[in-house]
Amino acid sequence: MLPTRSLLMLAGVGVASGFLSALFGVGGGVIVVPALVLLLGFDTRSATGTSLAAIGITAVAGAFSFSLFDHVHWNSAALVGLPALAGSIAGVRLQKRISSTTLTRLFALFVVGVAIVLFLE
Amino acid sequence: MSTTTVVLALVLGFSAGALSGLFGVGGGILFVPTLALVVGLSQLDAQATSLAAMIPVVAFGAWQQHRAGNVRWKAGFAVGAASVLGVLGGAVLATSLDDDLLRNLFAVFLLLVAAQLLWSTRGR
Repeated sequence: MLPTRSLLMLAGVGVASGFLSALFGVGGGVIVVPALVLLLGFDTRSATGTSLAAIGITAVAGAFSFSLFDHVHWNSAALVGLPALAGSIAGVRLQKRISSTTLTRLFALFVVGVAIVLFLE
Repeated sequence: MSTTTVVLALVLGFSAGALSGLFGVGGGILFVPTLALVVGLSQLDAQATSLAAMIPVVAFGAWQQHRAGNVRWKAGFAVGAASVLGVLGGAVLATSLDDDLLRNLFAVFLLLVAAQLLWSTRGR
C-alpha cells in the first residue's frame, strides 16, 4: 500500500491535472510529470510512464463527459488521433537518435506562433 | 469536409503524434489548434474532441512504457482516479465560458507551455 501522505499528494496532482485537462483539452502531463518528480521523488522515466497511465484514465473520463453534451466529433477525433498514433511511434524512434536543444527551442517558438494565430482568430 | 481539410488534418495529426513522442508534450496542444483552425470546430468542441483523439496515442504509449517497466500502476491509478473529479470541475467551467474567451485562455496556456519548453533547455 502507498503511505497516506503520498496517496493524498497523488490525489491532489490528479484533481489538478484533470481540471486542466478538461478546461483545455490537453492530457495534463504538463502538471503530472513535474509533480511526480518534484513532490514524490519519481525519476523522469517512471514519472513519464506513470503519467501516461494516469492520462489514459483522464482522457477517457474527459471524452466521455463532453460526449454526453455532444461536444465530441468522433470522426474528427479519428482523423487526427489515428495518424498521431503512427506519428508518435516515429517520434519516439527519432528521439533516440537526436537530442537537440535547438529543436526544442524551435518547437517552443512554433507553439508561440500558434498561440498568436489563436489570439488573432 | 473538403479533401484539402482531410489531408491537412491527417498530416497535422501525424505531426502532433511525432512531436509528442519527440518532446514529451501531449498531443493535445497540437490537436486543439488543428481541430479549431483547420477542421473548423468551435474551441470547446475542438478541446472535447482532442481528449477523444489522444486516447489511442496515450493507450499505446502507456502500454509501451509498461513493457519498459516505467509505470508505477498504483500511483498512476491514484492520479487517474482523482483526475476524474478534476475533469468534472474543468468540464463545468469550460462549458460555461464564452468560446472566444476559452480560445484566448487556451492561447495563454500555450505560451506557458512554450515557456516551460524553453526553461527545460536552459544551460544546455
